Amino acid sequence: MNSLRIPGPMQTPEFERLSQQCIHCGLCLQACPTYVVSGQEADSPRGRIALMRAAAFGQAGLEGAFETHIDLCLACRSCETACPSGVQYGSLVEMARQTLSDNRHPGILERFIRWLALDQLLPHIERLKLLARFLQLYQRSGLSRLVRSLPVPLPARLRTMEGLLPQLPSQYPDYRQPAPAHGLKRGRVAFFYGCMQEAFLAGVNAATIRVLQENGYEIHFPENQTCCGAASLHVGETGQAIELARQNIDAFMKAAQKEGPFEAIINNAGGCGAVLKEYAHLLRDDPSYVEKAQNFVSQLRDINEFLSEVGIVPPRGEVRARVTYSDSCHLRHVQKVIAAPRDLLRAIPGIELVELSHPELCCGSAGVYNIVHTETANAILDQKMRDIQATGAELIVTTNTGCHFQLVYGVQRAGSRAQVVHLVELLDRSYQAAKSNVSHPE
Amino acid sequence: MNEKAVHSLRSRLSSRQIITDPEELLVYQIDAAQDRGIPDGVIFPNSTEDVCQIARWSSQHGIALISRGGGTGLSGGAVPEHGGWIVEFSRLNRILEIDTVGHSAVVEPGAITQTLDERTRAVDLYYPPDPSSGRASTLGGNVAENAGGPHCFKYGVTTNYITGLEAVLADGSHVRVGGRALDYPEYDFVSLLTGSEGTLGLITRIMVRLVLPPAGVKTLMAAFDTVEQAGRAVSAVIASGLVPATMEMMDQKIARIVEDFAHPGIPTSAGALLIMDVDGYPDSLDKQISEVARLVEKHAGFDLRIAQNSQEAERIWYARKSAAGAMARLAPAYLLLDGTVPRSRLAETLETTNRICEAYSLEVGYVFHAGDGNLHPFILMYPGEEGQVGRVLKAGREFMELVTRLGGSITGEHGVGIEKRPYLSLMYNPTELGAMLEVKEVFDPNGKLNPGKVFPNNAAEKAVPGPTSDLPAGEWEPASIADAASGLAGLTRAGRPVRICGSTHSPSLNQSGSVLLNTCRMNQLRELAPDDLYVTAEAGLRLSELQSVLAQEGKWLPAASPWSETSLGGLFSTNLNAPFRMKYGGLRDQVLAMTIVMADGRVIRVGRPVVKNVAGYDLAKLMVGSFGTLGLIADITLKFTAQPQCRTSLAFPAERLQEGLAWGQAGFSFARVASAIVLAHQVELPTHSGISPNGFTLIYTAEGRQEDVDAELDGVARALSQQGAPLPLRIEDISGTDYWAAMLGPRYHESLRLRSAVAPKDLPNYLLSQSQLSAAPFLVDFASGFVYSALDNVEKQSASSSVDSLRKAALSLGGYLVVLDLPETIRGSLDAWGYQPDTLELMKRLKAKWDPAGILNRGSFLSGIDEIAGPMNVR
Repeated sequence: MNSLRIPGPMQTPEFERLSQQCIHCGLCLQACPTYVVSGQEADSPRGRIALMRAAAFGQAGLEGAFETHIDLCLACRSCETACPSGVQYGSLVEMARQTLSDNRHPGILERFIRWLALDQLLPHIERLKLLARFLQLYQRSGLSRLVRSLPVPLPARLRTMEGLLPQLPSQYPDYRQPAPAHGLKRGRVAFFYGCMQEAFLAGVNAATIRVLQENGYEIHFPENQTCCGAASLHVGETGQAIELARQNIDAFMKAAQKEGPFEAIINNAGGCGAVLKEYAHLLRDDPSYVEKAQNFVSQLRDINEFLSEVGIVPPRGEVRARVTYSDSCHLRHVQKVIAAPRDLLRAIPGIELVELSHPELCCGSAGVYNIVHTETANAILDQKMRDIQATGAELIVTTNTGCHFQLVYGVQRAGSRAQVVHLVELLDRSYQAAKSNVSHPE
Repeated sequence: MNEKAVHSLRSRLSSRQIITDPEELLVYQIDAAQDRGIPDGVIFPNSTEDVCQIARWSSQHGIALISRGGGTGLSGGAVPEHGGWIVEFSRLNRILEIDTVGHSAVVEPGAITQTLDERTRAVDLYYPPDPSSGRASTLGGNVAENAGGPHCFKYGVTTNYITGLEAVLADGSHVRVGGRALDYPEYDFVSLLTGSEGTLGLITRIMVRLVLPPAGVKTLMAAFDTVEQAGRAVSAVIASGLVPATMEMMDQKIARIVEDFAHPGIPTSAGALLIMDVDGYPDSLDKQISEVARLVEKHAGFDLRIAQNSQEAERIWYARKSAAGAMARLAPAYLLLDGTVPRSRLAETLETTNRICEAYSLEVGYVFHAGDGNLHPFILMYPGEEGQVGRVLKAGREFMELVTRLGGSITGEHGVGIEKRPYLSLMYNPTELGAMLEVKEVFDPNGKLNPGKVFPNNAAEKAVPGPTSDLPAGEWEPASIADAASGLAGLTRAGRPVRICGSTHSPSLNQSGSVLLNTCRMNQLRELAPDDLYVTAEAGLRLSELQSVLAQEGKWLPAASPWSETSLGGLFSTNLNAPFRMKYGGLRDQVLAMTIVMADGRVIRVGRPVVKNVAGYDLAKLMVGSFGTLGLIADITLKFTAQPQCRTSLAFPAERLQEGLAWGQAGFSFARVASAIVLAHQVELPTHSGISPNGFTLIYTAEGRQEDVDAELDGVARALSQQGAPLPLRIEDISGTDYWAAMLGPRYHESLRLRSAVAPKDLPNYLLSQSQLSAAPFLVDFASGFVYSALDNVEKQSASSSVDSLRKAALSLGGYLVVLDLPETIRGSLDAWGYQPDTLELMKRLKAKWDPAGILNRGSFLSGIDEIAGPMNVR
């Protein structure tokens, strides 16, 4: 057992206050994807809070049950929606992860991988794009098919990583100039294009831009924007996340000063949006940034949220397809954007939307969770795929990068023929179809 | 912990099914209440066989087992206060079958309540018990605690929906009690296990009956200046004969918190808030809601809001269901109480509880299930405040003393567990607790199943009355309970057999040498509480007399008998259920409390005159259908209901059995207000009905509000005509129940009368394979899965072969066949029961505890519990 008192966030009055809010009623259990697959109390939000308190009071060590089960949390925050007492589980799990990270002495390999991913790749979009090019070569050369047909299958983790690769983009949008509004101009917005999203799903970004154009917005692309910091936060590297937050705030402020104020800052990935909206909280102790951060957050909108707030230009082209919508946890449970994407989908002629029976449950993506906890993630994913397949949908609509990758992999695992698309891609198809006056049957 | 034991467990199960890591175990020390205790280990069974292994292992090594489901319990029921191993049912969570024809489901104990709700609604069926924790609670937990919820006033609690259970007993044996048919000839261990808080067995499978969801629902919210006023409005609504689906109340404190949190638009100046749902067909809904609104306004309700759409209704309900969680936003901890009082005592209970809390300087707020008198005070706790816990507990105790004084129960739906254990003695005296503990000893002689729960330590005692001066003999008509008790005590000592009979006098019942105990002088109506919808009467009172008293109040007891002289005691101990149980529940569902005189002279009163009560074992239901072999029912408290506005039947003549069966089953899928769906074959009614007894007639009876009845009968007539049924005859004076009474009545006195029972869905399967019935009058009760038949002119041999064949077919479908009555000529030649319950051994052991000399009603029930068995003798 470790020392009795662990320094750090779990010794603060805030932790005490937040953790005491839990009245252990258990209503979160079935909302928790890890509990649903394991049936173990320690894999539930209530169990994890109990472990946090046990660790904070020295009844449990840091290595052991506490570490195992905190690590296994997806941080999807579905439990926050389910909780009648308003427990801020997201804050609690961040404190726990920070504590683990502060006390962890990772081996050289883990440190190398972290350095590579968090320092050398994610904040550098150009490097990510280069990586994407290499991987595209791998896909196109037939090597991918070869690897998938190897007599000796890849180890589970590598197999997962391999399976997560979507069809990679062949070209990237041009961000050097603002994109003009089409038709009657309604305003100007800035676009946060993200790191992984841009490198691996640039087509989604291109569709987002076209949809905004069709809705009468001029879109600006502030220079020097970077990764939102979600991955760093997820592994307890709060310091690094704060750095990235400052860089992003500076980038958007500078652009606004240079190009004039924006009506909104748009992003299209639920997970990134959730972190971007927490910048004010992240920078609450930094007097030189707190106000700027609040200002930044007040302008932030998820694309779904934005379009339904301002009122969408009706998409008139028909997209005939049975679709289901797989909520991004961080869009649903953190940003609480639930009705907007559904309303947008229903606005597209020809779309038949079939709800999942458990839309509140995570798909198991959760940042790098699917690579670190492959077994649990796959169990969660398989459950999600069963739910999806029961709808008979040909298109699986998502609104987040990680979910997109994960569902592409899920389709492959389930041997399904469904296609994974971002919601804006469907809107885009509808607008394009209306223009060419040809319907796009799926 | 014994290492050898753990090693032996590991050899039986996989390592993924066992947790022993001390840190991993920490999270199992608590449920949703406040008591704590760390288990020695946790086991996750994946199958019934695993559970048997676990129980055998426990009995070999003397290890305590504590069942756990979702851990949402509110009384510490799943907390291992003194160690032991938790059996965690979370992985045994399948919904095995939803039967859309017979309206039933089979589930594993770890299945989530809400999942069953969703899955049944998806096929247009409905499982009504809806505890507020339903999102995470398991059905096994619901059964263990006999869970309630807001819909109990109209729809009842968990026990009213459980028809069968499979369980693993302490010794590792696996038994089925009840099943998918109804009224098995065995002691009602289904009712006993339900609400037993995991102390009698490990439940491995649950069979539930389902109903149809209401055609429509309307929600009304109203404000009142005081809780008393709101209470009077509730009483007025009930007195008018309306049966709202829910009647929920909040006091001002909670209303304000909820308004801050969920913004449903509650006037925060109001002293109380009432939320009511009514359900029914569209035409009936508007009428009902306007009648409710009129009564509410007449009783000082204001700011009435009738939800205009489902979103608005959902917002109102979301506010109500958030009450508990919203409290946590106010204070980090609270003691949540769960008392039930007769509804008319609600205001008084509330006023006194306020005074109690004031005296201890504590803050309190209330939500109530006002329709059933169940109130939940939340006493707020702030950590770090000195001496507060002590004050809160004292206030809690005073509250429980108060509700018991007012005739209520210390727990309506949360269970006793650890939390309320010290208070069970407020309700039950040592003799009563002793009788319950005898049941525990029968099921779990070594006390290894959830040990220490429910019953306070050393509270039991076996107080047997002194010897009586003169021993009753011949025909004995005790005049009082005390009289009956001392007489029975003497007879037990003398080992003299006793035959109990009701007000009927049937000399044939008397066997030589036994005393005939006739309850005809114990016939007082003790208490009639029309506002609280209950009546207490002695067992010798005739059902017909009780019904005529109730009729004067516009009420009735949903019970019937083919014989005018039937006594309450006789009716309930033979458990003869009319077809209208499909609408109102069976006899066992009407029993709230009972006074039992045991064979050794002990007198116990079990249950309370409240519809929600989970304190201790439900011994009253255990007596129903026990044929007087466990004790003498001395008096009985029953719930009753408003007389239906109308009762109308449709009669469809059918030519062939097959079509009659198909129409009957098709009709069942419309049954929202139906009170009987029966198919009669050559059944002659005593009065002229205009319906020919020849061939087949399907009778579909509906009752309740006129608009509901009309809407339902229209739908049935339309649907059946599409299936080729002819135009039905609409009749007001004859119902399906009259056909049932005719089948059992004097017309067929000379016939061999049988009741076959199978799962309702299996009826066609059963009947179409039986040629014995082609010439006989018979009656099919579709909702109950019963076939009543009357075989004429039977010789000993042909009777026995007919019974054998009909019985074999029923048994092979998981049902049974009993002989209800038989002509004098063949008496003694047939096995009346022909059923071997898995629990025969338990029945014998219980019988031996409660009737140690075996004097009561020898030969009246299953052969095996004593030596000689006779016919069912429902009279």
